[in-house]
Amino acid sequence: MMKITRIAGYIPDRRLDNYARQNDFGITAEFIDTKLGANAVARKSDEQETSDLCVSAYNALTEEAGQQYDDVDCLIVCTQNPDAQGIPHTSAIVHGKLVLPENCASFDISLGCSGYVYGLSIISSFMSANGLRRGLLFTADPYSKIVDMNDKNTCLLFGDGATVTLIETSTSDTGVWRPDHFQFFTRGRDGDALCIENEHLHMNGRAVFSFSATETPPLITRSLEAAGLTQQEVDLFLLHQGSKYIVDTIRARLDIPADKVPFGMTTYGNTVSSSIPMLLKDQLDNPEFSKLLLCGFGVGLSAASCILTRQL
Amino acid sequence: MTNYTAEILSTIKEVCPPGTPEIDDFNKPLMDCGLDSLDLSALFLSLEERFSVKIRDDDFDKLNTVSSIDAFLKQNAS
Repeated sequence: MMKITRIAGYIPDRRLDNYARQNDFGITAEFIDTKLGANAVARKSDEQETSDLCVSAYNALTEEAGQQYDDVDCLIVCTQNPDAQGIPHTSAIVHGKLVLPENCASFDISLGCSGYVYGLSIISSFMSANGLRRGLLFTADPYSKIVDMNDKNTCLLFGDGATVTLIETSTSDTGVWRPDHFQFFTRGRDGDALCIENEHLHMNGRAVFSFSATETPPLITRSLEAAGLTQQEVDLFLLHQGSKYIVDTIRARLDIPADKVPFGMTTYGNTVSSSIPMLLKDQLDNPEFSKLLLCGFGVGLSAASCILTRQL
Repeated sequence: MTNYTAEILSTIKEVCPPGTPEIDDFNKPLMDCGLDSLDLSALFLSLEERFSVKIRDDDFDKLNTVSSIDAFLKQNAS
């Protein structure tokens, strides 16, 4: 059985202040606060590559754990903005920078905002199938590489960041977080709602909003049904932090109390596949929680949900 | 006021934040009535669901007043 042992994140120090640009785009501070939900977006330095963000997340992991992880045998990077246009794959570059063993499997997965949930399923299955014992799942999708700074739909929303999740085999079922009850959704015919056009990110905000608002609630319900859980039995619903408005909308459509749906992109923006693990890392050690629901949605159009369970 | 107009106004109240001004000029652009782009997205989604209609992106910019939405629904809602 695979367990989530620890999660760490990295957000670059540099910020772009959204309030400073509100006049450029004819929006109000209220719109920034209540709709976008990001008063600033994080920006990596020009010199930082996607793999560097991963390394910084890994450094945070080892610092918080107080130990190095030299015997990693699986490394996955979820990104659609890799180093050097993807050749070699960013996971191999991270593998080199972390000086990991040569028997370590390393590969990238190309997914956006649903990527963390997919990644949990992929790394758990891959490690189980191949008898691997310790894996690292990175998320790092610096949209600053592709955002048009004159596009208000995207430049005020997306921030840079990275996370790493340590996955290990566990002989015990007690006290460990186990991902399960995965559900997936794809609507490829509407993929142009969030895509690259003329080398920049293009987002049809209305289409992405409609997709997220209508398809995410039933997906969440499917995960609950698969797990035999009611909404009330779930401690927290960790939704992809697309914007405050979409998180509020999904919460309202499912009639979930606000205190069960944390919001956490205010100071750095939508970090794509990193948004869910950025929330999750602060909840793993909370002794009051034993059931968490994760749901990511976006690029594809794609969505995925799962339940994390800890037997106390 | 038609039934559709009443439905549009009540839907605006549902999807817009408290404090959004009452709309009394049905020919005034909604963006000038205090609605923003996300409010419009939520409004149109709600109308699509309520009236089983599809509002295409091509129509999105044209449907910028209560009157124009009313006319669209009269023509397209079953």
